[in-house]
Amino acid sequence: MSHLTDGQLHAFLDGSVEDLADAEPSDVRSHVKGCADCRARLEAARLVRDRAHSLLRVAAPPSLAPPPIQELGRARTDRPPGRWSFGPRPESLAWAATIAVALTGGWLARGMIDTETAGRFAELDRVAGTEQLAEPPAIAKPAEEQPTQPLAAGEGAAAKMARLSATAAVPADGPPGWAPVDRARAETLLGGRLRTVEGLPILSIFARDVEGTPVVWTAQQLASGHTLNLRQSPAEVSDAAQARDAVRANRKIDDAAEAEGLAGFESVERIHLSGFLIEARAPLSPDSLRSLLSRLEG
Amino acid sequence: MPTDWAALYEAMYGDLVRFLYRKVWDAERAEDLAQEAFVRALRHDPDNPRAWLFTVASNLARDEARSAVRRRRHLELVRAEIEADPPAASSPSADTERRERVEAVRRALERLSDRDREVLLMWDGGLSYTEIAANTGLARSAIGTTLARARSRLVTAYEEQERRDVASD
Repeated sequence: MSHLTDGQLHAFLDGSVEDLADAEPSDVRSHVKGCADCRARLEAARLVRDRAHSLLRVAAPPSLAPPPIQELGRARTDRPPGRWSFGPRPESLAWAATIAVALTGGWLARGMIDTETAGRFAELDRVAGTEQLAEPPAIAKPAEEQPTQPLAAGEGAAAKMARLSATAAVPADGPPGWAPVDRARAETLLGGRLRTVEGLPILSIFARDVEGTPVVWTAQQLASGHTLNLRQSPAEVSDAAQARDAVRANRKIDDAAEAEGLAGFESVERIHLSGFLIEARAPLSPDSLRSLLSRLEG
Repeated sequence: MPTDWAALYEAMYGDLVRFLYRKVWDAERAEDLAQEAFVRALRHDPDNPRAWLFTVASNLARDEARSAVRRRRHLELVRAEIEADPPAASSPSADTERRERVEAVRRALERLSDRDREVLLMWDGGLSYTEIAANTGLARSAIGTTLARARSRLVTAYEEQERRDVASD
């Protein structure tokens, strides 16, 4: 093997020889052992690397402690004034809304999910110190039976945005023609297991008859506060019939989302799984939605 | 496997703020942008959140740099910092020296090409060669070479600057 390149030497120093695409890691290691020239260059490279690292350490902000996660998006105007305060920043309100939606969503889902599906909300709550998902599991109920989470005083516009967004994302009574059901009833109607995405709280389950075949609509909460909508039916239901029905069923949510400025960012995926057709819609990229669907269980 | 967001937030916050600080040179703004990146990650639930966060952070910093408002604000910031934050009585020389060193590192970093600087800061932020390659579009085999060049240029630029400063004193 010829002498190592500078890039290979730095990869060796960085413990990244496994990431090299132009040399076998074992060849690099054995060459370093046997080549005095390359060992000398390695020491020179080490000095450069360490010096660069120390310079970068100089250019670090003074405080790097993460704020509590529930304060993640709080507007700067809520914080004590400092010399770098430049007044309200509209984008901060949007962040606050997202985090508040995530936390509020966790609360909305309490009592509706089991401990296995607490998912990210439990983690957020744990960090926030609220531990709100510790109650025993209950059978899924439609969202309108859940009380509204009182918001902490002082949350202001961000909290209002969060409440509005959460309202838009969670169907209150379902579209006309859909009946709220629990999981057991949904599975009886389908004649098989109801598929849901592991780790996401179930917000509501509705069912209806489409041209003589059952269709079950499950809404699950994403960490963003938005909703993943799954429609499951036996595969013999024609795609066209399900598509028409899905359009009707989503109209109400879409209208609400549009009113809140949340529309226009939704992907749709369809998969066949164990004799069922499952249509998924969510405000995610197609890749993220497909990734979520790989976690379908039930 | 769902992402452990709480653990990720705790583990990556500092890295991401440092990464952003070296791009926007405003500690508060770096924290703002890091928080925005996390909020977006929560919203999108990406498959590889670590690499995704750095990509978003990089884009946010770039957008920030492009903003004329931002540039104007930065001038105000520098002026306000000088006027409103005189060195503490306990260690005036240490504070001054630190500010001068930060400014020197900043100028040295600015002498790197955009690509070299990005790769260097991503590595310092904790991304692997593979993740950096995926984020930047560079070949994996090019990351070591890029890092070697970036580190060498950073050190050289900083030392040249030190020599000039000494000569001008």
